[in-house]
Amino acid sequence: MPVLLVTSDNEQFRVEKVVAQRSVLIKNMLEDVGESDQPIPLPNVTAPVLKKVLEYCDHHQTDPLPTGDEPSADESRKRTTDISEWDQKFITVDQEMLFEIILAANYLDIKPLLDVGCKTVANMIKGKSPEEIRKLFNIVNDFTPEEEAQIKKENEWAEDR
Amino acid sequence: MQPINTSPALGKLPLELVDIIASFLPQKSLLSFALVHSKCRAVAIRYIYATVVLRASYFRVTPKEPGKPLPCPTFPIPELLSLVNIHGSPILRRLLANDEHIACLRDLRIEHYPDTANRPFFTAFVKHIWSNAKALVRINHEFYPGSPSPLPGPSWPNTLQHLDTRHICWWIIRALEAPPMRRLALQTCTQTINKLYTKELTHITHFEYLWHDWKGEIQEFNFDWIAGTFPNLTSLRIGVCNCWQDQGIPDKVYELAFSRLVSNLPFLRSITIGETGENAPSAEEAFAVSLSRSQPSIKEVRFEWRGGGVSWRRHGTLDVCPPSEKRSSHAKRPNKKPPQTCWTPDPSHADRLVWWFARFGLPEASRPEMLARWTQEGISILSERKLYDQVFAIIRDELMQETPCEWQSKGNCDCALCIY
Repeated sequence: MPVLLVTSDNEQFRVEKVVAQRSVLIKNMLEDVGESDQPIPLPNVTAPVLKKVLEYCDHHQTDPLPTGDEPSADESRKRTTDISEWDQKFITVDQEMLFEIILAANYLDIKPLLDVGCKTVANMIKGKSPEEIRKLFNIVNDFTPEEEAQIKKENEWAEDR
Repeated sequence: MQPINTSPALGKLPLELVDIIASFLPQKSLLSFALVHSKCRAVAIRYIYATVVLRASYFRVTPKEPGKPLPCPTFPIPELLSLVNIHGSPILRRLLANDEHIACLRDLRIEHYPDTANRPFFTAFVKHIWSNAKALVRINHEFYPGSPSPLPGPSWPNTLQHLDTRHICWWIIRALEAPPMRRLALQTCTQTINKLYTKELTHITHFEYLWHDWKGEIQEFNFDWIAGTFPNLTSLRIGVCNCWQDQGIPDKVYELAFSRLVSNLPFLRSITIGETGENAPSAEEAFAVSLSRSQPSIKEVRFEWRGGGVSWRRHGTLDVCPPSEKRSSHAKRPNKKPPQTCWTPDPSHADRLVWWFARFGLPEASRPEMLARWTQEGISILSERKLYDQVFAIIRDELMQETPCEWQSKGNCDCALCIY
């Protein structure tokens, strides 16, 4: 049975329930309302972003759903940043869209997509200096030179570990 | 959550998402990331200082004022720190100097302990660290030195969820009874927990242990006690040291022991069996199907061996089959089989001893002596039990000579040293 999703810019998407339910948010909403033709509003997602998200959900519709037994963020330091070939192609988008997808995955509660987005950003950061990272993401340095020196000193021992 | 700034891209993300990104960064990149912006630093230090490994072989304390005796290690920590100089273990010293870093600590691993004269100071400092580590989730205590010094003290961090240990006694039991505890990894102390603990530990859902035939008794090849002690397990890992082969236990008995175990664990979803060698896929499949029939809740049976592993996942009602994609991504089967560790007949006693120390981490200092003794008289030792007895007796004598167990004199100690 198809489900009707409505984006923040009032565009409608009719998708199979099994695809829509990759989103825990939508799955819970469908369970709450039961069998209904009512459209599901997604006020935090625009049409271009939802289109991308649904492309991901469609491709991964048969994957096992996360069980909740996955390592927590705290344990995730041991996780790999490997991304499957299809996911890599999928996530090859401009930076603005990449972060929109991450935000949408977080809002829609699609953990595997959130991980793909965050791993991609992490891979962009890897091996870069602080200045390069600032430039890449347009971030303004808010440290004083003294604070920066202090942090560098603090981090010295961690570099040797 | 406030965004880092109002610019596009990373600046749009709330801190919780920046935190997830940081969770995928290696240590070196985290150090750069911490210097990008104050909010990046706030996230990065959570990961930079999240995992700490203490190797305290060279830890020692000396009085700050020459000629003065060392203070009592039970003094309050600030007073202690003002009276002694700490040498060695730079990570411990760094942590003691910065409470902010202690607060980030989530995973504490203690790999080497100092000598017995300095150990009370070391344990006092470690206690201080984990009583201030408000986010501590995991303690790896696997490399316990053998002496029953009451390292964790009566109070465990109430955030502790995961404990790795190879020493079960009353204060470990106390940690296991705390509600947040979910994961327990035991190394070689199944006999002890089985004897010590008869109640159910219902909140523990993940259990790992190394089954080892150190008693030389076939009847120990029985895992029923696991379901009795941990009835709500969802994940179980059992490492087996090939010992059933030493004992000549047929595969059917092996399969039966596991099937009976899983049939008593109604919530079990995944079981991992760690072995020293790789099995034939047909044998794996037969085993996985048997377990799946015994316990319908099982979704995954995983086999691991040195350098690889393979997962069999459940599809449909009873069939268990490895999807080819999954199998290849998990299997990483080496072209050549890894060297087999087969002890019947024993190929090399020295190798075996090295393996033993590598696996169980007996005190570093005893290794040369043990190797010497092994070379001289170990040729006749044929069973794991005799090997263990001999190794343990020597180490116990050394330790007891240096630090007699304080509970033994009260007649109520259940620690491994006193039981033996």
